[in-house]
Amino acid sequence: MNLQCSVLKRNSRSSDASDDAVPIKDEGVFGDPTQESIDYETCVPSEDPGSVVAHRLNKVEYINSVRDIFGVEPETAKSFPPDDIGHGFDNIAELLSVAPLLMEKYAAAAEEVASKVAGGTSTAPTPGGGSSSSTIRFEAEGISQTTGGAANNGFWNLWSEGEVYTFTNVATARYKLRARVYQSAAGSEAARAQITVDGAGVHTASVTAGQASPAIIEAEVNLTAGSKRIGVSFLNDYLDGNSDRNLYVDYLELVGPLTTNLQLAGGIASQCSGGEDQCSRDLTASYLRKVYRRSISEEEINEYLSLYQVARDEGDTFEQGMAIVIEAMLMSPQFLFRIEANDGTAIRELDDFELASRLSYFLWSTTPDEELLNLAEEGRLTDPTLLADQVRRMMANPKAGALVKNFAAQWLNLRGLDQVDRDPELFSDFNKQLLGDMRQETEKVIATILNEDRALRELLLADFTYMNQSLAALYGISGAQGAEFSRVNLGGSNRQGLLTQAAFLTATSNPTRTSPVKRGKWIMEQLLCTTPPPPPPNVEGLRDVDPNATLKQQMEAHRANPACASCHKVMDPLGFGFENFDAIGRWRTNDGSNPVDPTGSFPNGEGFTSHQDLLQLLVSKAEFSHCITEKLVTYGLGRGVEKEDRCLVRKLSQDAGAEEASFEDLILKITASDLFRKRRGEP
Amino acid sequence: MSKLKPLPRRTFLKGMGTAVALPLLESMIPSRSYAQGQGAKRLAILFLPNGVNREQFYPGQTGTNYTLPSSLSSLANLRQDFLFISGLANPSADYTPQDGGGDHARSAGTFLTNVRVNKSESNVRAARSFDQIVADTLGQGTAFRSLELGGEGGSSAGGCDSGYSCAYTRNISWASATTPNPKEINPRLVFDRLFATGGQATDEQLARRRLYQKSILDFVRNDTQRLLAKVGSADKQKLDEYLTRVRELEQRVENGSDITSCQSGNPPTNSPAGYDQRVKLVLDLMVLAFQCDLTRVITFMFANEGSNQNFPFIGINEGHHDLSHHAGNGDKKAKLAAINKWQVSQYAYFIEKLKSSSEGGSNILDQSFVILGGGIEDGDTHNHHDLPILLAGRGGGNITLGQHIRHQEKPLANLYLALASRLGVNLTKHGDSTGNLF
Repeated sequence: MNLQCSVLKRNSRSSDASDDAVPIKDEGVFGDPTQESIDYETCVPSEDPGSVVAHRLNKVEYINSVRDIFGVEPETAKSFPPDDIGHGFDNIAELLSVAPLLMEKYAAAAEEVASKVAGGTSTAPTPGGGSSSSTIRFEAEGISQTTGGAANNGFWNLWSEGEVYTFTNVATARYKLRARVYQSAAGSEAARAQITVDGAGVHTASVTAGQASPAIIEAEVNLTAGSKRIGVSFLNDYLDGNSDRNLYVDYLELVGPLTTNLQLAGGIASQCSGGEDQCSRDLTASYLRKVYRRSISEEEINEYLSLYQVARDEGDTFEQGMAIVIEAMLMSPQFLFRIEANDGTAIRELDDFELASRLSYFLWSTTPDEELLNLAEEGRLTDPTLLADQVRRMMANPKAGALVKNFAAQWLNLRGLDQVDRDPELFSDFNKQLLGDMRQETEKVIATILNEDRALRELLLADFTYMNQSLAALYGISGAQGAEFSRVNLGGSNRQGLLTQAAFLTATSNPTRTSPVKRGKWIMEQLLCTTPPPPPPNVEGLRDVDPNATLKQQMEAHRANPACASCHKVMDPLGFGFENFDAIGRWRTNDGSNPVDPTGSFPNGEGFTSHQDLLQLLVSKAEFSHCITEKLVTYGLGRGVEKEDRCLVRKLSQDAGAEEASFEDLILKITASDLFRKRRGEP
Repeated sequence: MSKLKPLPRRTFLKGMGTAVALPLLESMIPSRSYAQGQGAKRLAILFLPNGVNREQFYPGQTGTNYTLPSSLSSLANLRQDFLFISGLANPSADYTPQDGGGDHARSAGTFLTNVRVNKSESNVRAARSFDQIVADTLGQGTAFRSLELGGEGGSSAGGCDSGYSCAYTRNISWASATTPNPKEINPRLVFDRLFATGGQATDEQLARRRLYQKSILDFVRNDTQRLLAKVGSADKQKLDEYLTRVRELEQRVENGSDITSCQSGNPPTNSPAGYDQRVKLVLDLMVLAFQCDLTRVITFMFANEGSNQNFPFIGINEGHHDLSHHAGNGDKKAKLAAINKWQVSQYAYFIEKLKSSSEGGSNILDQSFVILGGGIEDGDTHNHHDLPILLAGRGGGNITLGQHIRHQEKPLANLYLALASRLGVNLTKHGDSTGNLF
């Protein structure tokens, strides 16, 4: 939510009128005043990549990293305090400090994870956490999914081909994998479900069971020690009109070990071979490389082993010794912070490991995988061709969904939707479930634009969306049944792109009505990266206006005041262009008893007669693709884009193809640029 | 702090998921609620965002015989337990042409720091806040140096206020100039943190665990110190801060204050449905934390500054911030007054509970200071010159309460100096203070 108040009144003593002039240096997009003027025709990109302070892993990055390194879910981390937001994102390095509360929770999370991984203390049972067999159930709605949505009774609906999966630690042993599933029948064959280990199918079953009596499918597999990705995937999606075959998954279970032929009994020990000394050394080395995201020295391993020895000297177990080692790793600043070595104030190329971390946290919000670490170890990641190949590989990986959840959801304020409320008397259609649907719709469209490598312009012009029955009813568009989402063609409707979706329209409205000013301001800030100058002081608000006037007329009266007009003359038309959509995104031709007037014009003479017109106008602006680039750079670097960076950012955007570029095109340009590949040191 | 059989806090709350629905204070009464911190002085600060409807909040008369404004009506039975102090200003929050908009960010950012905060989306700079300075003295030896709590979290995206980082609007407590203290808002998490107990551990197990914790922290401290030599100035500042955190944890382990001796009843359910229920539970937990002497310093934000929270439980579906720009509209002002009335009723509830918590020959309220206040006087003008401030409790000393005292634009920080001296905290200058208020 933005709080820049359009209406301000101050005591005259609070400011000196002679100093109050708002600096207007430039006539920017639509002829609005901007605070910075850059001549993009002639500017020369700065060679200074800027300085980025050490990032602390934010909450999402911490959880993802721990999961990827240790194969366990750090439950304690879910109660970490939210990270502070600056420049619209929660991964801004300067803001990622360590408050005492967070430190307390780091300690608790480290203990929890260490104990789960090592199995040396008794908390939740872990697979292989003892010699006896156990059953671990992973509820489908609680683990990762590549597609689908929550269905009734705790099932997950895989509505297109995709997978529910999770990572878990196993011993070298035989296990049983089990899943509870049913299908919605459609087409000529039954749904095919596949149990997978590390992405490969180990068992495929035809599922004829329906919702009334779900079936159990299961398979026995031999697994080798370590973190395994286990899952259930849906292989044969079918959709023809209203006939829709889906696979519903209740849970996935890991049962075992069924046989124990292990050299060392139970816990973390079962993940390695050799005697205790060898085993503790191997495990420490293997984890530490991942935790530090770089190659490590013998000396570093030995230091950690001294902690292991503390426990052994106390007469404690192997597992307890390893638990302390892991606990210390998770408290190390070399895990919690992404620290890039400093070399005075010089500008230098990042080394391979630093680059691997930047890439991984940018595209995946998590720690580098084996392939990145291996390439870095070989010193090859800094090779431009190989780097681009890696970016393409990473973008194709399901982990790139982090860009939707973390980048786009913040950029488009989808996270803020949680806090939206509506007057129930005015909006009886509105409920929290619908809010979730709105968010899902926009996330799915963005995911599709990302996955299908579509052009940025489609963000505003896409002729498709995803709807379920509730959204279809809200939009007055047919074609979606039930709670599940299906892709709907929007040709011939009033809707196209994100700005006609309920998520945007709702997030920028007030509880009782639309707010054209909020919508306009949002478009300026999030899509055009133009920050309206702050309202000048001593501005009288919307007082003494004719209460029977339309909102548009009231705002026009407001703009009669030149002090207000300076920014409202752009902000307001942008917002009023979407007045055909009410405060929860329903189409309307009247606002109360007054007809909606969706026409408008800007100070530079450009105008529009409908929101479709306005969308075309927006997309045609260089600021549109420039702005997305700027947001991506901000998120990718974890720092604000400064005036000195803007020339390069504009160039990256243009080189990538401006509004015709895809996200991948842009990300390739960004990751190849000096901004991303170099750093300037601090004194 | 006296200890019974110590229970480790370091456990996962297995089996606690089946909590009873919405237990209020009665079902969370600790088994030993008496005299845990006899004679201890305490400070609680409850922060109001968005200003108030002045007409129904500020008394028209000064002295003891003022007519209680309608928004304060729930304090009728507690008249003798609080002061209404008007005329306190926070000049560091004032508008300047250079800083421009952002009065919400400045309201919360300066409320307890009393310095002009740096206008930036990412380079945040305020100061160590008053509550933290008090905690340096009062917080020694309690399980928690201080608690930072609130009624509204921080998941919204986008900008927060006109070029200021959200850090300013969401926090009033600052551990240092660059590190705000985030608040817990989920009563269940607060409960878990305060009262986490697991199975009984033997003394030997506890001793060994402590040894391991010390070894780990020692290791991490050395690791951090070595790194410090290799980094630039900005990173050094971050790692220095991390080192401070490591030392604080070491201190906790050292003096055993990571172990609570005060047992509670049932935990609250994970996420109570409504905002009002959540606020009530957090206030209950604040009472418990004082009763159990788990902490002596608490800050609580009813909501983030600039919050657009609605209040359906009192029939208000519009957002608070939207309403606060009332532009003189009577309906909006009436709704604002209703919101204020509800907020004050929560304050009344809290101080009433403290008053009825006897401790030695006194009660917790008399030993404490409890502020209800905000950094904006009226949300429509955003001014910071005549802030709404209520002060309850006597801080263990002699103060004549039960009156409305009006000052002529004295800095809010002057009040803090006055409270500090009565709490036994040595503080002669804080931010823009110009002297001791009383």
